[in-house]
Amino acid sequence: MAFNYRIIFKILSTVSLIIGFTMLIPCATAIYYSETQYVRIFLQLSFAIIIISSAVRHGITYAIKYIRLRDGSFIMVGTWILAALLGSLPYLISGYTDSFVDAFFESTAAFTTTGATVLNLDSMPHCLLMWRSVCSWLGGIGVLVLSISLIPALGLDGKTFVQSEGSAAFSDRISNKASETISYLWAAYIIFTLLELILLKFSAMNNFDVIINTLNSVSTSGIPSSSHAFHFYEDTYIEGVMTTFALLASVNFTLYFALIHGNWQALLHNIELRAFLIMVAISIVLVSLNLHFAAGYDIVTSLRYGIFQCSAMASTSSMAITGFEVWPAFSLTILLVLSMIGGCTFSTCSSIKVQRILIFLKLIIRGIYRRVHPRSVVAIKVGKKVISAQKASNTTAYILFYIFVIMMASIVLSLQNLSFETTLTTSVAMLTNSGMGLGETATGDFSMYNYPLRLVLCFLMFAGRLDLFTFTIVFMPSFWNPEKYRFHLQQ
Amino acid sequence: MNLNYPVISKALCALILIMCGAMTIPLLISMYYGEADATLAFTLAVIPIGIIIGAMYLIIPHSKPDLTIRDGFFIVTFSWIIAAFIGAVPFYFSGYFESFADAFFEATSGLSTTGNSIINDLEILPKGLLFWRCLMHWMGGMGILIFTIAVLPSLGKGANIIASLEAPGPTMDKITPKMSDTARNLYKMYAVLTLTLFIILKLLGMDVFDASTTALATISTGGFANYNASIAHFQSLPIELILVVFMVVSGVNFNLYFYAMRSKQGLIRLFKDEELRLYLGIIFIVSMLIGLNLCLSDVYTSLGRSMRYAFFQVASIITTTGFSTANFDIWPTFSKMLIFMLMFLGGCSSSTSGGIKVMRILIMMKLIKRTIKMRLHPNAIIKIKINDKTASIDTVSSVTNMLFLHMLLVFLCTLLVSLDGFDFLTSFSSVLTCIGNVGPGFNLVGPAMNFSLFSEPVKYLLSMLMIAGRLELYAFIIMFLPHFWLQDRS
Repeated sequence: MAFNYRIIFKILSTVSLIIGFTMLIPCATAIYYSETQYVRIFLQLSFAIIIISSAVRHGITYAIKYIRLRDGSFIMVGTWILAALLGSLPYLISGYTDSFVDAFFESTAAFTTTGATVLNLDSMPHCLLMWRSVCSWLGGIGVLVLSISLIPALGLDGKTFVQSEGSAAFSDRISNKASETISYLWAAYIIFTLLELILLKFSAMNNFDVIINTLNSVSTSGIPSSSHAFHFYEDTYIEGVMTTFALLASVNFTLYFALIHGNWQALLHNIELRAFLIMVAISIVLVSLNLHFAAGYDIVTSLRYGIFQCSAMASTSSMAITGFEVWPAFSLTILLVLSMIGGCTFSTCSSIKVQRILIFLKLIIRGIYRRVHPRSVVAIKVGKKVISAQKASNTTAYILFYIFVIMMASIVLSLQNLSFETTLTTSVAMLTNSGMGLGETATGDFSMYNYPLRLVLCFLMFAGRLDLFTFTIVFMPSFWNPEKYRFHLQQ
Repeated sequence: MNLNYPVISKALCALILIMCGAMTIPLLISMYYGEADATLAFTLAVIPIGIIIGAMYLIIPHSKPDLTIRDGFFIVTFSWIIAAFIGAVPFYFSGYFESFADAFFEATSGLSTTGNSIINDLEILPKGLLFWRCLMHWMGGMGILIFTIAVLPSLGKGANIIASLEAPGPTMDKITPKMSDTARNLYKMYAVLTLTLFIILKLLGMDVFDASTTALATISTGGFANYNASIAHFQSLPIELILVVFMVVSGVNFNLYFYAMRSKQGLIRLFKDEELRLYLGIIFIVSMLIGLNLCLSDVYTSLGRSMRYAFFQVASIITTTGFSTANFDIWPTFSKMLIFMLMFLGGCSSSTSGGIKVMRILIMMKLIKRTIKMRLHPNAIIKIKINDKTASIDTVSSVTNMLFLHMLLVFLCTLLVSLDGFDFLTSFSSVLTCIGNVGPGFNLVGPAMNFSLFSEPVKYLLSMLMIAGRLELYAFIIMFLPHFWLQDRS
């Protein structure tokens, strides 16, 4: 069974077409700030990509109108790698960095909404910073969702696609037509972006920084410490606005769809959302108390820091209070675990997701119950919904695999011989796409890793963003050659 | 259904009597070495407890030894806590410990075969106390209750329940029809191994006292040593090599030895066992990696020396013994990270080691592999097979539940321990090392340090964690749930 290459290339070319068009935004920035050598580069790149991809797009015709699961995974992984490759071109061609690895890392970090960096953001030209932020923004709603929204245009049935997309499976089937849902996702995302732009405009920030910070926070990618980032302003209002939108973006977007249709009940009765908010609230209280009593901050500052850092971590955005890595271990442990749990299903966050954590807790409770009553049959329920055995087992495997990957990655990353804490939290930061570890990587700057390890970091970011299993199956031999393994599997 | 209190009390009394009986050995040793303080401490512990509990044991009437699984949980958890309590009494009376929390920590660390100490200078401790620490290792290694069953086979059917709850690992094979026979056989094997090691160590030049305590602490994968420098004190390659072999041997499923001794098929089974292969494979590969890392980053001058330390430390950590010949806290991060992973791991099921156990990791990896395959081929039917036997859904789900509970507990306890104000790595690794019954951790609880820095509540918490880890979490955790107790009412 070969892949449906025609459709795959049609979608990939559409993605690159979009990327080609968005390159005009940094181009405009370059013109505004008269960074002349970049204007030419962005223009040339943009036109080249647009021409090639539209040529490919128009050249491909196809007859088979459905995509299989394997095609779906191929498109997912292909899209992200293609986006990261195209996104790295401006850095490379402009000569801002000589190394392909650095450019690729920067672009990957943006598209996977990790927000980490290996370059110096302070000395980066405005247009490249803008490009980074636009990539993050695109990554936030997902290059994937961009292409799903194009599926009706291609005349495809998106159902198979959404299933394989698997950001913890579609738990609320609000709309039968994926396309309709997606247009609302788009709308919600753009409304949030505009709102945050307006709200930040009232602050002391200059226009450029308003755009940069908005694009990076609404996509939950976050922005490493630099003179353009919010750190520079030390303003509670800015921090408040950015946290609010990072949190809004970590909520299940299909709930906004329900909200637009006036369905308040859906919002109130969503167990995952409730659990997420409770989790964040408890963390804020604990961290603030800890900061007040153990680290000696006054009550207002500790509350402010607690709210900001907990929300940033829970939404897996790399936004950090300067110097938070020296906070007491109690707070750091909470923050680390928050980033591993992440936001809700179908949000811009990666990580394990609250939904899975709920199943995780239910499984523990059931496990204990079954020890006392070995012959009992207990269903796993989240809210009122019964979780099927299949799903429970998938979730179990997912969480275990997640931990397993973090550990293996830590072993590989420890070859750099940084401190134990830094190494362990780097792999967490990369896999969860939160983009900041503890110790030396707390600023979101990962330039202390050498080139081969930077590629490992990229690999982890992809794995985290693409839902781990979707990413992993591409490396299975039977993915590429199912016929050969058919007999083997039947045994 | 109510708990079967008469049987429970009888079992607990029997256990305490056995602890008292065991205490007479260090008492005699103290007398032999003329240590007045230790002799007094042991006498003060043995005589009153022995008389009172002995009388109680005689008074409590015999009743039907029908135990439910709830009784089992109750007996197992409380006997460990009580045993640790009794074991702490002579420590406390001896005056070498600052508080009862310290004495309790040391006793728990002994019984649960963890081997992390709270004492700053071991070498001033009386020999009687040193011996008691290692004897507790030995009794706890195979399970104090299995020990009790072996000695006092009056529990009948209930013994099965207790043994299955106390035995480490997901499977406890019934080797013989009667549990008390199985228990006795296990202890025979255990004693033979200990005696062999004792003789070899004696021949390699240790004195009788050191050889006996080291043998007790090695076979039980405990890790208490008589010197501040642990095994590094002896500076002898043959001793280290022998200890590596015996530590690895103690980390293997003891049932396999039985089968191997009984028949030729059993011998084949021993070498084909998937868990054993993975276990030995991990030890070999990780040791080589650490050895190379140590040599290439110039921690030690020669490759031989690096390999020597690497193999010893890997064997010591994966079997959760906790002896040390080198301070791994100053090794490069790569080596430290590998050691850290081994702390999770532990040895094989039904061995004396702690940790998650290789078997569970094996099942976990097969589950992950299966899920990835199922993702790609949604209609395929793939079974999880261990040693050509299909693992049932119940087995797999109980394994994954245990892993989850382990993760949750480590997280919650790290939070509690970090309230003491030490850094992340110290808090995290102290929890990990206690729940896995390993011994040393990293940073402030590293191999060259000890646990005396924590506050009293944290010492109690860590003691409880050691017992929870030794009982594989469930038996212990269930005690703290209201659900367990509320059943009496209905």
